Amino acid sequence: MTRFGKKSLVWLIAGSVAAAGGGLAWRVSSVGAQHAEEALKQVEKSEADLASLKSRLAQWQQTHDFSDTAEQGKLASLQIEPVALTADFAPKEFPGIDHVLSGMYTENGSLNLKSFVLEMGTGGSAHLSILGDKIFSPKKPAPPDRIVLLPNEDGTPSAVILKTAAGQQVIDHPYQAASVSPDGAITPRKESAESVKARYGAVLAAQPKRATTYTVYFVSGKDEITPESKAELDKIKADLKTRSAPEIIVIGHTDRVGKLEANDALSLERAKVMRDILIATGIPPKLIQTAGRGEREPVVQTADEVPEAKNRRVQITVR
Amino acid sequence: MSIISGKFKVMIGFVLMVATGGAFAGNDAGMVKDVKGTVMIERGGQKYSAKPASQVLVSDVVTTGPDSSVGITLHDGTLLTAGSNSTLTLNKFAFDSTTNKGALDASLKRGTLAVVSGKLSKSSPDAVTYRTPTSILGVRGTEFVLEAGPGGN
Repeated sequence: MTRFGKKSLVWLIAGSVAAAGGGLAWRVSSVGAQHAEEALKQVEKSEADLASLKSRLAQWQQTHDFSDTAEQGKLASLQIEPVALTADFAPKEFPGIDHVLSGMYTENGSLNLKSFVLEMGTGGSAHLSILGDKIFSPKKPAPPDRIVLLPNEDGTPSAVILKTAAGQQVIDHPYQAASVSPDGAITPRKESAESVKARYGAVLAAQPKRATTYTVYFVSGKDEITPESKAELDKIKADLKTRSAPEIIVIGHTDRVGKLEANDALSLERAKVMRDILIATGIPPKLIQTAGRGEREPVVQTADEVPEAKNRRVQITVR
Repeated sequence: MSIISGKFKVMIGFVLMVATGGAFAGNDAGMVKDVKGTVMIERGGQKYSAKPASQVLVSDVVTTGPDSSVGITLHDGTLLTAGSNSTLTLNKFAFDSTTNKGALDASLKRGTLAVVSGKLSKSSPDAVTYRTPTSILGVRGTEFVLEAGPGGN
Protein backbone atom coordinates (compact mmCIF):
# COMPACT_ATOMS: atom_id res chain seq x y z
CA MET A 1 0.00 0.00 0.00
CA THR A 2 1.21 3.45 -0.69
CA ARG A 3 2.59 5.22 2.32
CA PHE A 4 0.55 8.15 3.43
CA GLY A 5 1.40 11.67 4.19
CA LYS A 6 1.57 13.70 7.32
CA LYS A 7 -1.21 16.07 6.33
CA SER A 8 -4.74 14.88 6.27
CA LEU A 9 -6.53 15.16 3.00
CA VAL A 10 -10.18 15.24 2.38
CA TRP A 11 -11.37 12.94 -0.34
CA LEU A 12 -14.59 13.68 -2.00
CA ILE A 13 -16.01 10.78 -3.86
CA ALA A 14 -19.08 10.78 -5.91
CA GLY A 15 -20.57 8.20 -8.17
CA SER A 16 -23.42 7.80 -10.49
CA VAL A 17 -25.64 4.94 -11.37
CA ALA A 18 -25.56 4.04 -15.01
CA ALA A 19 -28.92 4.07 -16.63
CA ALA A 20 -28.69 0.46 -17.75
CA GLY A 21 -26.66 -2.70 -17.20
CA GLY A 22 -26.37 -2.49 -13.44
CA GLY A 23 -22.86 -1.17 -13.58
CA LEU A 24 -21.63 1.92 -11.84
CA ALA A 25 -19.56 4.69 -13.17
CA TRP A 26 -17.22 6.90 -11.27
CA ARG A 27 -15.25 9.88 -11.80
CA VAL A 28 -13.01 10.48 -8.88
CA SER A 29 -11.24 13.56 -7.77
CA SER A 30 -9.02 13.69 -4.80
CA VAL A 31 -8.86 17.16 -3.43
CA GLY A 32 -7.83 19.23 -0.52
CA ALA A 33 -10.66 20.29 1.75
CA GLN A 34 -10.81 23.71 0.17
CA HIS A 35 -11.45 22.25 -3.25
CA ALA A 36 -14.40 20.08 -2.28
CA GLU A 37 -16.88 22.39 -3.96
CA GLU A 38 -15.01 22.28 -7.25
CA ALA A 39 -14.73 18.51 -7.08
CA LEU A 40 -18.47 18.23 -6.83
CA LYS A 41 -18.83 20.02 -10.11
CA GLN A 42 -16.49 17.58 -11.81
CA VAL A 43 -18.66 14.53 -11.24
CA GLU A 44 -19.99 13.03 -14.39
CA LYS A 45 -21.05 9.72 -15.78
CA SER A 46 -19.04 7.37 -17.91
CA GLU A 47 -18.02 3.71 -18.12
CA ALA A 48 -14.95 1.47 -18.29
CA ASP A 49 -14.04 -2.05 -17.11
CA LEU A 50 -12.96 -3.42 -13.74
CA ALA A 51 -9.62 -4.76 -14.83
CA SER A 52 -8.73 -1.43 -16.23
CA LEU A 53 -9.63 0.25 -12.94
CA LYS A 54 -7.56 -2.14 -10.92
CA SER A 55 -4.60 -1.66 -13.14
CA ARG A 56 -4.93 2.09 -12.93
CA LEU A 57 -5.22 1.97 -9.16
CA ALA A 58 -2.16 -0.24 -8.92
CA GLN A 59 -0.21 2.20 -11.01
CA TRP A 60 -1.52 5.04 -8.93
CA GLN A 61 -0.27 3.42 -5.77
CA GLN A 62 3.13 2.74 -7.23
CA THR A 63 3.65 6.14 -8.68
CA HIS A 64 2.41 8.30 -5.86
CA ASP A 65 4.20 8.60 -2.58
CA PHE A 66 1.80 10.59 -0.45
CA SER A 67 4.31 11.23 2.28
CA ASP A 68 5.68 13.84 -0.04
CA THR A 69 3.82 17.11 0.44
CA ALA A 70 4.63 18.11 -3.11
CA GLU A 71 2.79 15.00 -4.22
CA GLN A 72 -0.14 16.07 -2.13
CA GLY A 73 -0.33 19.25 -4.14
CA LYS A 74 -0.35 17.22 -7.34
CA LEU A 75 -2.98 14.98 -5.86
CA ALA A 76 -5.38 17.87 -5.88
CA SER A 77 -5.62 17.65 -9.60
CA LEU A 78 -5.35 13.88 -10.05
CA GLN A 79 -8.37 12.27 -11.55
CA ILE A 80 -9.04 8.63 -12.17
CA GLU A 81 -10.65 8.00 -15.47
CA PRO A 82 -14.15 6.71 -15.42
CA VAL A 83 -14.82 3.05 -14.81
CA ALA A 84 -17.81 0.81 -14.46
CA LEU A 85 -17.88 -1.88 -11.81
CA THR A 86 -19.78 -5.04 -11.26
CA ALA A 87 -21.80 -5.84 -8.18
CA ASP A 88 -19.70 -8.86 -7.33
CA PHE A 89 -16.45 -7.00 -6.80
CA ALA A 90 -14.57 -8.64 -3.96
CA PRO A 91 -12.98 -6.47 -1.26
CA LYS A 92 -10.49 -9.19 -0.43
CA GLU A 93 -8.58 -8.25 -3.55
CA PHE A 94 -7.37 -5.23 -1.65
CA PRO A 95 -5.86 -6.61 1.55
CA GLY A 96 -5.95 -4.67 4.79
CA ILE A 97 -9.18 -2.97 3.92
CA ASP A 98 -11.95 -2.81 6.40
CA HIS A 99 -13.54 0.60 6.18
CA VAL A 100 -16.30 1.08 3.65
CA LEU A 101 -18.08 4.21 2.66
CA SER A 102 -20.74 4.36 0.09
CA GLY A 103 -22.34 7.07 -1.93
CA MET A 104 -24.77 7.32 -4.74
CA TYR A 105 -25.58 9.90 -7.31
CA THR A 106 -29.33 9.77 -7.76
CA GLU A 107 -31.17 9.72 -11.00
CA ASN A 108 -32.58 13.19 -10.77
CA GLY A 109 -29.08 14.58 -10.68
CA SER A 110 -28.80 15.57 -7.07
CA LEU A 111 -25.83 14.37 -5.12
CA ASN A 112 -26.81 11.91 -2.47
CA LEU A 113 -23.85 10.65 -0.57
CA LYS A 114 -24.25 8.57 2.52
CA SER A 115 -20.79 9.45 3.51
CA PHE A 116 -18.74 11.48 1.18
CA VAL A 117 -15.78 12.58 3.17
CA LEU A 118 -13.04 10.33 4.39
CA GLU A 119 -10.40 12.18 6.29
CA MET A 120 -7.12 10.37 6.24
CA GLY A 121 -5.30 10.45 9.52
CA THR A 122 -1.91 12.03 9.89
CA GLY A 123 0.83 9.48 9.34
CA GLY A 124 -1.67 6.74 8.66
CA SER A 125 -1.45 4.26 5.84
CA ALA A 126 -4.81 5.12 4.35
CA HIS A 127 -5.20 4.65 0.68
CA LEU A 128 -8.48 4.78 -1.12
CA SER A 129 -9.63 2.33 -3.70
CA ILE A 130 -12.79 3.32 -5.38
CA LEU A 131 -14.90 0.59 -6.76
CA GLY A 132 -18.48 0.88 -7.73
CA ASP A 133 -20.44 2.42 -4.97
CA LYS A 134 -17.93 1.38 -2.39
CA ILE A 135 -14.78 3.01 -1.22
CA PHE A 136 -12.17 0.93 0.48
CA SER A 137 -9.48 2.07 2.78
CA PRO A 138 -6.94 0.04 4.69
CA LYS A 139 -7.35 -0.15 8.42
CA LYS A 140 -5.48 2.54 10.30
CA PRO A 141 -2.92 1.01 12.63
CA ALA A 142 -4.46 0.90 16.09
CA PRO A 143 -2.84 3.13 18.67
CA PRO A 144 -1.16 1.24 21.52
CA ASP A 145 -2.62 0.60 24.94
CA ARG A 146 -0.74 2.30 27.74
CA ILE A 147 -0.13 1.95 31.45
CA VAL A 148 1.70 4.32 33.78
CA LEU A 149 2.25 3.71 37.50
CA LEU A 150 1.71 6.71 39.74
CA PRO A 151 3.32 7.21 43.15
CA ASN A 152 1.20 6.27 46.16
CA GLU A 153 0.09 9.28 48.18
CA ASP A 154 1.65 7.82 51.31
CA GLY A 155 4.87 6.89 49.53
CA THR A 156 4.52 3.16 50.08
CA PRO A 157 5.82 0.88 47.33
CA SER A 158 3.45 -0.47 44.72
CA ALA A 159 3.51 -2.46 41.50
CA VAL A 160 1.48 -3.44 38.47
CA ILE A 161 2.20 -6.72 36.69
CA LEU A 162 1.50 -6.38 33.01
CA LYS A 163 0.76 -9.50 30.95
CA THR A 164 0.19 -9.55 27.22
CA ALA A 165 0.15 -12.13 24.45
CA ALA A 166 3.81 -11.40 23.86
CA GLY A 167 5.21 -11.30 27.38
CA GLN A 168 5.21 -9.81 30.84
CA GLN A 169 6.53 -6.72 32.56
CA VAL A 170 6.68 -5.69 36.22
CA ILE A 171 6.13 -1.98 36.66
CA ASP A 172 7.12 -0.94 40.17
CA HIS A 173 8.68 2.51 40.08
CA PRO A 174 6.64 5.70 40.13
CA TYR A 175 6.12 6.99 36.58
CA GLN A 176 7.42 3.76 35.09
CA ALA A 177 5.21 3.00 32.10
CA ALA A 178 4.65 0.79 29.08
CA SER A 179 2.83 0.83 25.79
CA VAL A 180 1.40 -2.31 24.23
CA SER A 181 0.82 -2.71 20.51
CA PRO A 182 -2.12 -4.74 19.17
CA ASP A 183 0.03 -7.86 18.89
CA GLY A 184 1.01 -7.60 22.56
CA ALA A 185 4.55 -6.32 22.11
CA ILE A 186 5.54 -4.33 25.21
CA THR A 187 7.59 -1.16 24.89
CA PRO A 188 8.90 0.11 28.23
CA ARG A 189 8.50 3.83 28.78
CA LYS A 190 9.30 6.39 31.42
CA GLU A 191 6.81 9.12 32.17
CA SER A 192 7.12 12.04 34.56
CA ALA A 193 4.79 14.11 36.70
CA GLU A 194 4.73 16.64 33.87
CA SER A 195 4.01 14.19 31.07
CA VAL A 196 1.28 12.53 33.14
CA LYS A 197 -0.32 15.88 33.80
CA ALA A 198 -0.17 16.76 30.11
CA ARG A 199 -1.76 13.56 28.94
CA TYR A 200 -4.04 12.66 31.85
CA GLY A 201 -4.56 15.92 33.70
CA ALA A 202 -8.29 16.08 33.05
CA VAL A 203 -8.96 12.47 34.06
CA LEU A 204 -6.94 12.85 37.25
CA ALA A 205 -8.72 16.10 38.08
CA ALA A 206 -12.02 14.23 37.73
CA GLN A 207 -11.11 11.65 40.38
CA PRO A 208 -13.55 11.45 43.28
CA LYS A 209 -12.41 13.22 46.41
CA ARG A 210 -10.31 10.86 48.49
CA ALA A 211 -11.72 9.34 51.64
CA THR A 212 -10.96 10.71 55.07
CA THR A 213 -10.89 8.43 58.09
CA TYR A 214 -11.57 9.58 61.66
CA THR A 215 -10.88 7.51 64.76
CA VAL A 216 -13.28 7.57 67.67
CA TYR A 217 -13.04 5.99 71.13
CA PHE A 218 -15.70 4.93 73.60
CA VAL A 219 -15.53 5.70 77.27
CA SER A 220 -14.42 2.39 78.77
CA GLY A 221 -17.35 0.01 79.15
CA LYS A 222 -19.97 2.54 78.08
CA ASP A 223 -21.95 3.34 74.96
CA GLU A 224 -20.77 6.90 74.90
CA ILE A 225 -17.77 8.38 73.16
CA THR A 226 -14.96 10.34 74.77
CA PRO A 227 -15.02 14.14 74.74
CA GLU A 228 -12.10 14.21 72.28
CA SER A 229 -14.09 11.99 69.97
CA LYS A 230 -17.03 14.35 70.09
CA ALA A 231 -14.86 16.92 68.34
CA GLU A 232 -14.34 14.41 65.56
CA LEU A 233 -18.09 14.24 65.03
CA ASP A 234 -18.16 17.92 64.14
CA LYS A 235 -15.40 17.35 61.59
CA ILE A 236 -17.34 14.44 60.15
CA LYS A 237 -20.47 16.50 59.70
CA ALA A 238 -18.49 19.27 58.02
CA ASP A 239 -16.75 16.75 55.78
CA LEU A 240 -20.06 15.26 54.67
CA LYS A 241 -21.11 18.59 53.25
CA THR A 242 -18.14 18.64 50.89
CA ARG A 243 -19.10 15.39 49.17
CA SER A 244 -21.38 15.15 46.15
CA ALA A 245 -22.66 11.66 46.94
CA PRO A 246 -21.55 10.99 50.51
CA GLU A 247 -21.11 7.66 52.22
CA ILE A 248 -20.02 6.96 55.78
CA ILE A 249 -18.37 3.64 56.59
CA VAL A 250 -18.23 2.84 60.31
CA ILE A 251 -15.83 0.05 61.21
CA GLY A 252 -15.37 -1.31 64.72
CA HIS A 253 -12.11 -2.82 65.99
CA THR A 254 -11.16 -4.66 69.16
CA ASP A 255 -7.96 -5.64 70.93
CA ARG A 256 -6.94 -9.28 71.28
CA VAL A 257 -8.73 -10.00 74.52
CA GLY A 258 -11.38 -12.63 73.82
CA LYS A 259 -12.06 -15.09 71.05
CA LEU A 260 -11.88 -14.16 67.36
CA GLU A 261 -15.58 -14.70 66.70
CA ALA A 262 -16.60 -12.85 69.84
CA ASN A 263 -14.44 -9.90 68.81
CA ASP A 264 -15.99 -9.92 65.34
CA ALA A 265 -19.41 -9.62 66.94
CA LEU A 266 -18.29 -7.07 69.53
CA SER A 267 -16.64 -4.83 66.94
CA LEU A 268 -19.75 -4.88 64.77
CA GLU A 269 -21.86 -4.05 67.79
CA ARG A 270 -19.64 -1.06 68.58
CA ALA A 271 -19.96 0.09 64.97
CA LYS A 272 -23.74 -0.04 65.25
CA VAL A 273 -23.72 1.96 68.47
CA MET A 274 -21.56 4.51 66.69
CA ARG A 275 -24.02 4.55 63.83
CA ASP A 276 -26.82 5.40 66.26
CA ILE A 277 -24.74 8.24 67.70
CA LEU A 278 -24.19 9.62 64.18
CA ILE A 279 -27.88 9.38 63.37
CA ALA A 280 -28.68 11.23 66.59
CA THR A 281 -26.56 14.14 65.33
CA GLY A 282 -28.80 14.38 62.27
CA ILE A 283 -26.95 12.30 59.70
CA PRO A 284 -29.37 10.38 57.42
CA PRO A 285 -29.24 6.64 58.22
CA LYS A 286 -29.04 5.57 54.61
CA LEU A 287 -25.60 7.16 54.27
CA ILE A 288 -24.12 4.91 56.93
CA GLN A 289 -22.71 1.40 56.54
CA THR A 290 -21.31 -0.63 59.41
CA ALA A 291 -18.78 -3.44 59.71
CA GLY A 292 -16.76 -5.17 62.40
CA ARG A 293 -13.20 -6.20 61.75
CA GLY A 294 -12.60 -7.79 65.14
CA GLU A 295 -8.93 -8.20 65.99
CA ARG A 296 -7.69 -8.08 62.43
CA GLU A 297 -6.41 -4.54 62.16
CA PRO A 298 -4.67 -3.41 65.37
CA VAL A 299 -2.97 -0.03 65.58
CA VAL A 300 -0.57 -1.48 68.14
CA GLN A 301 0.61 -5.08 67.71
CA THR A 302 0.24 -7.16 70.88
CA ALA A 303 0.35 -10.78 71.91
CA ASP A 304 -2.95 -12.62 72.12
CA GLU A 305 -5.17 -11.79 75.12
CA VAL A 306 -3.26 -8.61 75.89
CA PRO A 307 -5.55 -5.59 76.39
CA GLU A 308 -4.68 -2.47 74.42
CA ALA A 309 -6.98 0.54 74.56
CA LYS A 310 -5.56 2.03 71.38
CA ASN A 311 -6.87 -0.92 69.40
CA ARG A 312 -10.39 -0.66 70.84
CA ARG A 313 -11.68 1.96 68.49
CA VAL A 314 -14.16 2.80 65.75
CA GLN A 315 -12.98 4.16 62.43
CA ILE A 316 -15.37 6.41 60.55
CA THR A 317 -14.56 6.89 56.87
CA VAL A 318 -16.26 9.63 54.90
CA ARG A 319 -16.08 9.34 51.12
CA MET B 1 -7.53 -10.94 25.28
CA SER B 2 -11.26 -11.18 25.22
CA ILE B 3 -13.37 -8.32 26.26
CA ILE B 4 -16.06 -9.44 28.65
CA SER B 5 -19.24 -7.64 27.73
CA GLY B 6 -21.92 -6.67 30.15
CA LYS B 7 -24.10 -9.45 28.75
CA PHE B 8 -22.06 -12.22 30.38
CA LYS B 9 -23.18 -13.26 33.79
CA VAL B 10 -20.22 -13.59 36.09
CA MET B 11 -20.15 -16.34 38.66
CA ILE B 12 -18.77 -15.05 41.90
CA GLY B 13 -17.30 -18.07 43.63
CA PHE B 14 -16.79 -16.55 46.99
CA VAL B 15 -18.02 -17.45 50.44
CA LEU B 16 -19.52 -14.53 52.27
CA MET B 17 -19.15 -14.11 55.98
CA VAL B 18 -22.84 -13.64 56.45
CA ALA B 19 -22.70 -14.10 60.23
CA THR B 20 -20.88 -10.82 60.72
CA GLY B 21 -23.03 -9.01 58.20
CA GLY B 22 -19.94 -7.82 56.44
CA ALA B 23 -20.76 -8.61 52.84
CA PHE B 24 -22.53 -6.47 50.29
CA ALA B 25 -25.56 -7.84 48.47
CA GLY B 26 -24.28 -9.88 45.51
CA ASN B 27 -24.55 -7.30 42.76
CA ASP B 28 -23.92 -3.99 44.46
CA ALA B 29 -20.40 -2.82 43.68
CA GLY B 30 -20.17 0.89 44.20
CA MET B 31 -21.47 4.38 43.63
CA VAL B 32 -21.07 7.14 41.08
CA LYS B 33 -19.58 10.18 42.79
CA ASP B 34 -19.03 12.74 40.03
CA VAL B 35 -20.26 13.11 36.47
CA LYS B 36 -19.16 15.49 33.77
CA GLY B 37 -20.77 15.58 30.32
CA THR B 38 -22.40 12.41 28.95
CA VAL B 39 -22.08 9.26 31.03
CA MET B 40 -24.28 6.19 30.57
CA ILE B 41 -24.58 2.93 32.44
CA GLU B 42 -25.77 -0.03 30.40
CA ARG B 43 -27.42 -2.75 32.43
CA GLY B 44 -29.69 -5.61 31.42
CA GLY B 45 -30.08 -4.25 27.92
CA GLN B 46 -31.14 -0.80 29.17
CA LYS B 47 -29.17 2.43 29.29
CA TYR B 48 -29.34 4.81 32.23
CA SER B 49 -27.88 8.25 32.59
CA ALA B 50 -25.31 8.16 35.41
CA LYS B 51 -25.65 10.75 38.18
CA PRO B 52 -23.91 11.29 41.51
CA ALA B 53 -25.19 8.61 43.94
CA SER B 54 -26.17 6.27 41.05
CA GLN B 55 -25.51 2.67 42.00
CA VAL B 56 -22.91 0.69 40.12
CA LEU B 57 -23.63 -3.03 39.84
CA VAL B 58 -21.55 -5.99 38.72
CA SER B 59 -21.69 -6.35 34.92
CA ASP B 60 -22.48 -2.68 34.37
CA VAL B 61 -20.95 -1.13 31.25
CA VAL B 62 -20.09 2.51 31.84
CA THR B 63 -19.58 4.67 28.76
CA THR B 64 -18.53 8.28 28.51
CA GLY B 65 -18.87 10.64 25.57
CA PRO B 66 -16.54 13.34 24.32
CA ASP B 67 -15.40 15.89 26.89
CA SER B 68 -16.88 13.77 29.68
CA SER B 69 -15.72 11.94 32.76
CA VAL B 70 -17.09 9.88 35.62
CA GLY B 71 -15.74 9.19 39.11
CA ILE B 72 -16.83 6.00 40.83
CA THR B 73 -16.02 4.62 44.29
CA LEU B 74 -16.28 0.88 44.75
CA HIS B 75 -17.20 -0.57 48.13
CA ASP B 76 -13.62 -1.49 49.00
CA GLY B 77 -12.59 2.14 48.49
CA THR B 78 -11.22 1.73 44.95
CA LEU B 79 -11.51 4.97 42.99
CA LEU B 80 -12.22 4.52 39.28
CA THR B 81 -12.19 7.57 37.05
CA ALA B 82 -13.00 7.20 33.36
CA GLY B 83 -12.08 10.00 30.96
CA SER B 84 -13.65 10.96 27.64
CA ASN B 85 -14.79 8.42 25.06
CA SER B 86 -14.29 5.50 27.39
CA THR B 87 -15.97 2.16 27.82
CA LEU B 88 -15.52 0.39 31.15
CA THR B 89 -17.08 -2.91 32.16
CA LEU B 90 -17.14 -4.09 35.77
CA ASN B 91 -16.90 -7.82 35.21
CA LYS B 92 -16.50 -8.95 38.77
CA PHE B 93 -16.73 -7.34 42.19
CA ALA B 94 -17.07 -8.89 45.61
CA PHE B 95 -15.92 -7.44 48.92
CA ASP B 96 -16.35 -8.69 52.47
CA SER B 97 -15.96 -5.74 54.85
CA THR B 98 -15.10 -7.99 57.80
CA THR B 99 -12.24 -9.87 56.17
CA ASN B 100 -11.42 -7.33 53.40
CA LYS B 101 -11.27 -10.23 50.97
CA GLY B 102 -12.95 -10.54 47.61
CA ALA B 103 -12.33 -10.03 43.89
CA LEU B 104 -12.34 -7.31 41.27
CA ASP B 105 -12.05 -7.55 37.51
CA ALA B 106 -12.71 -4.64 35.17
CA SER B 107 -12.14 -4.13 31.44
CA LEU B 108 -11.31 -0.89 29.71
CA LYS B 109 -12.32 -1.49 26.11
CA ARG B 110 -11.40 2.01 25.01
CA GLY B 111 -10.52 5.35 26.55
CA THR B 112 -8.73 6.22 29.77
CA LEU B 113 -9.08 4.93 33.33
CA ALA B 114 -7.35 6.30 36.39
CA VAL B 115 -7.35 3.92 39.35
CA VAL B 116 -6.62 4.38 43.02
CA SER B 117 -6.66 0.89 44.48
CA GLY B 118 -8.72 0.07 47.55
CA LYS B 119 -8.64 -2.53 50.26
CA LEU B 120 -9.04 -5.54 47.96
CA SER B 121 -5.68 -5.15 46.30
CA LYS B 122 -3.96 -4.79 49.68
CA SER B 123 -5.39 -7.94 51.15
CA SER B 124 -6.01 -10.05 48.04
CA PRO B 125 -3.51 -8.81 45.45
CA ASP B 126 -4.07 -11.73 43.09
CA ALA B 127 -7.78 -11.11 43.14
CA VAL B 128 -7.65 -7.72 41.44
CA THR B 129 -7.21 -7.47 37.66
CA TYR B 130 -7.78 -4.82 35.04
CA ARG B 131 -7.92 -5.52 31.31
CA THR B 132 -7.45 -3.65 28.06
CA PRO B 133 -7.76 -5.15 24.57
CA THR B 134 -4.09 -6.18 24.71
CA SER B 135 -3.23 -6.52 28.39
CA ILE B 136 -4.10 -7.97 31.77
CA LEU B 137 -2.84 -6.09 34.80
CA GLY B 138 -2.35 -7.53 38.26
CA VAL B 139 -2.38 -4.86 40.92
CA ARG B 140 -0.54 -4.53 44.23
CA GLY B 141 -1.91 -1.55 46.10
CA THR B 142 -1.29 1.11 43.51
CA GLU B 143 -2.38 4.17 41.67
CA PHE B 144 -2.10 4.04 37.91
CA VAL B 145 -3.58 5.23 34.63
CA LEU B 146 -4.66 2.86 31.86
CA GLU B 147 -5.31 3.75 28.28
CA ALA B 148 -6.97 1.56 25.66
CA GLY B 149 -6.47 2.60 22.05
CA PRO B 150 -6.91 6.31 21.51
CA GLY B 151 -7.17 7.85 24.95
CA GLY B 152 -5.60 10.56 27.06
CA ASN B 153 -7.83 13.03 28.91
